[in-house]
Amino acid sequence: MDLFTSAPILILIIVCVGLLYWLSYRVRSGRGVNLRPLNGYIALKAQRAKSVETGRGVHFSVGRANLSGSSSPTSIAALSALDYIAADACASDVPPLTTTGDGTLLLAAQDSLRAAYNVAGRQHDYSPRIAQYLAAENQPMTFAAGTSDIVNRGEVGSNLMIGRFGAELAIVTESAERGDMEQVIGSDDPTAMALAVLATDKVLLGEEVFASGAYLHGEPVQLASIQLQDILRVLAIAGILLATLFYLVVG
Amino acid sequence: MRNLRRSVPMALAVGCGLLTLLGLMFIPELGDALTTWASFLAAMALLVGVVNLLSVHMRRLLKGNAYSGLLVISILAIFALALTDFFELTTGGVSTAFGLVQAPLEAAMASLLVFFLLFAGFRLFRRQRNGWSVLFIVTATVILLGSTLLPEALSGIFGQASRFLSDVFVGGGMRGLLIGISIGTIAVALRVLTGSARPYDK
Repeated sequence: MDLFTSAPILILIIVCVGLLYWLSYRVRSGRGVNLRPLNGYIALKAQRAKSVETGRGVHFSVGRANLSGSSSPTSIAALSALDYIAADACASDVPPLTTTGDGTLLLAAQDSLRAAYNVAGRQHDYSPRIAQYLAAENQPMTFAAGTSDIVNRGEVGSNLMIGRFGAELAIVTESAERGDMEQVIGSDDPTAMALAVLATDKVLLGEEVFASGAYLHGEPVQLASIQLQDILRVLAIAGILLATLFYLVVG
Repeated sequence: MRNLRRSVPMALAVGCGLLTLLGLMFIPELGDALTTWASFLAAMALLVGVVNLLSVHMRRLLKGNAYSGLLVISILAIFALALTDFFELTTGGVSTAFGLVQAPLEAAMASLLVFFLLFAGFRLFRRQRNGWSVLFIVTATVILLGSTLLPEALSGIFGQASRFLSDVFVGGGMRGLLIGISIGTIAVALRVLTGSARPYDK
C-alpha cells in the first residue's frame, strides 16, 4: 500500500476511534441509546431464561470463522452472545452445548464457558468437552453432519447459531426443525442469511450480528459502537447518493 | 496482581493489533510476519481441536457409541497414514484417503442441499402465510423457470425476468447487506484495537 492510499485510511481510523471515545463518554454521562427491538435478540434472551427454567440445555454454535482471519469480528460477536447465554446457564448447571468448526474459536469458547463457571463459583463442574470442535473450516458438510447429530441427540431444547456459516446451515436447521426446536440464527454470510430466513423468523441478519454486545450486555462502549455504526452508515448513504448525483449530472 | 493479569494480555493484543495495522500500511514485512505468526497459532489451535474431538468421542465410545468408535478408528488410521507418508513408507496415503472417503461424502451431502431448501421453502409458506412468503415463492419460481429448458418464447420472458430480479433486487439488496456488514466489522475491529472488546480476557 503506498502512502497516498494508507494516509487517508489511517486518518479515517483515527477519526473513528475519536468518535468511539466521544460517543462512549456521552453514553456514560447519561445520554441513553434507543435500540430498536430485534426478534433475534428477544428470542435469545427468552431461550436463556427457558433453558434455566426447564433445566434443558441449548445448542450454541459459534460458527467456522477463525479468530485470525478477516471474519474474526463475526466470531467475536458470536462469542459475546455465548458469554451472555453461558452466564446463567452454567450457574444453573445447564451449560450450552457449544460447537465450532475452528480451533481458535474452540479455545475462545472454552474460555467463555470456563469464565461463566468461575463467576458462578462452580469451577469444578467445568469440562472442556462442553465445547466441541467438529470439523475443519474447509469441510462445511462434515461440520453440518456433526452439528445435526448433536441437535438430534435429544440433549438440547433449542438451537442457537450465531457466527459464520454457509449453505450447510440448511442441513442443521432442518434437523432442529424435525426436533421441533426453537431456533435463533445469525450470520454475516449472504447464503446463510437467506437460509436462516427460511428456517425461522428469529434471525440476526448481517450487521445485526455485530450488535450482540450492545443488545445483550449493554456496556457504554458497545452502545457507542452502535451509534458509530449509524454515523458510518449515514456517511455511506450520503456518499452513494452524491456519487450517483455526480454520475447523473457530469456523466 | 489482578490488574496485571488483565492489562498484560490487553497490552499485547492492542500492541499486536496496532503493529499489524501499521505494518500492513507502511512496513509490509512486519505485517506479513505478524500474520504468519497468527496463522501458525491457528494451526496449533487446529491440533487442539482434533484432540478435543478425539477426547469427546473416546468418552462416547466408552459409553458404547459405535459411531464414535468408527470416528476414533478413522482418526487413528489417518494419523498412522500421515506417519507412513512422512517416513516415505507410503506415498500420498492421506490425500488418497481424503479423495476416496471425505470428498465423496462431502459432495453427497452438498447434493442433498437442494431437497433441504425445498422443504425449508415449503415450511416457510406454511409458517408465515403473508405477502413476503408469496413474494418468496413467486421469485423462486421465476428464477427456477428462468434457468430451465422451456419453449423459446417462454424462456426469453422468464430469462429476462430472472436476470432483472438477480441484477436489480438481489444485487442491490446484497450490496446493502455487505455495506452494513463492513461497517459492523469496522466497529468491532475498532473496539478490539482500542481494548474496549476483550474476547481473550473473560
